[in-house]
Amino acid sequence: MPEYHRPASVEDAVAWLGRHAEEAVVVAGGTTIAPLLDGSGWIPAMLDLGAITALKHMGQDAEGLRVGATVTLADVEALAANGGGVPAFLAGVGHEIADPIIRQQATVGGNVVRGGELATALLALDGVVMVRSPAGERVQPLADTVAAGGASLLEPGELLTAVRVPAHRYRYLYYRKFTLSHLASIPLVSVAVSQRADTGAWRIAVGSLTLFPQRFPAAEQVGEGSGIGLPTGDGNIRRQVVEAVLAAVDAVDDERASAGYRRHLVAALLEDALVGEEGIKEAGGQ
Amino acid sequence: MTASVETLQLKVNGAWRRIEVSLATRLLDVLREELGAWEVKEGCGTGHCGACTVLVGGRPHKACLTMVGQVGEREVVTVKGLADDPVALRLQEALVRRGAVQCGFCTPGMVVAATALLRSRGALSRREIRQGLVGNLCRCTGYQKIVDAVEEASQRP
Repeated sequence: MPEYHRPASVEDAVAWLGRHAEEAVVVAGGTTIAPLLDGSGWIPAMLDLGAITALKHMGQDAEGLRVGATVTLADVEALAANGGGVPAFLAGVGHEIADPIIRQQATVGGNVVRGGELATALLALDGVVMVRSPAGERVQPLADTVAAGGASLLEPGELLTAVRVPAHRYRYLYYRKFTLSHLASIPLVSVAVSQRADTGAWRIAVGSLTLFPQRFPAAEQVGEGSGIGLPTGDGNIRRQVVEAVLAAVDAVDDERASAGYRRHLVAALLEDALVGEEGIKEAGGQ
Repeated sequence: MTASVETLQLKVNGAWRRIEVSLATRLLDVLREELGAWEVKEGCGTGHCGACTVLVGGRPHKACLTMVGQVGEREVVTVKGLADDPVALRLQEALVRRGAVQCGFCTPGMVVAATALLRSRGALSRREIRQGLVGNLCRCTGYQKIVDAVEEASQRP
């Protein structure tokens, strides 16, 4: 049976993780780990973050929204009570993950580290990850971490402590996921699109195609260069943006869908995102 | 350093229980195999079906997705622990009246999940009930009557 460590502080957790970097699995909500336990002892050591109150805090200030790693998805859903804009957008994305019981257990950190739907949304919001290790703190845009192309957001011995969402104001925020059955299932494809109110900058993120969601700077440039505002009725611009995404997108073939079908879905969902059909739509800041 | 098997105090349905177990054991296995709480059912074991739903610190959890080490000081309540709960009683009466129990395997988890849902809000719409119970599957597909019963329980004072 694994060694099981449940510290009360981030410092203790980081020190322990530093000593067990190669064999430890980090448990936040535990919802992806527990089904993998088979008694064979293939997980030698576990670090349970559940007793660290410092990781459960969520708060807003002038810099934006800061969400601790073990804030639950149910807590994120509750952001909808704060009115519209970015909090309502995140609440809407959170509401579509898994089911209401699992959302009481599953955490923001667990979802982001595994490249889940909050990671897709955070790419469209210029989200930043805050990471601790024995070497200190690393604060880095999620986009940079994803672009590094590794198999994990984190290096061995690193702990995600929080994510930050900068206090931008948005003209347009859009998210939609496509699933084969009901809302609770993992999507075949998801898209998140944003346009800043001040700079007009676009962000386009697509999730569930590969291990981590992808962002598409070239397609964003096509959109920004056109000078139009989202959503747009301009079919010519929409086609150019979708083509730029398809030229860069990486999609896997797996038991749930072929890469070709996923590419078809990317085009269809992006078209809807740009024209403003279906999906979660918000505007504003925090 | 934490030993792989520990002596643990766990509060279940109002009583503190002492067990010797690895903290990485699923709460579901502790409840059924260590404590004889057979009312907690194992359906899929992967978090999809909700048959093992229990309350942990008053919030619904899937016991197959929870390790016992995660519970800490919080109380675990199974459907048996709701025997005298007024909301759960109202719900159980409605389930019986509506014929909402077929094979019964999903019922313990369904009652725990629906009780938590009923406690969290006032009158529920059918849509809210369906969304609230999307993580609890009935393989008899008796959803219509289950939703009827939860709706009835949410309307009575």
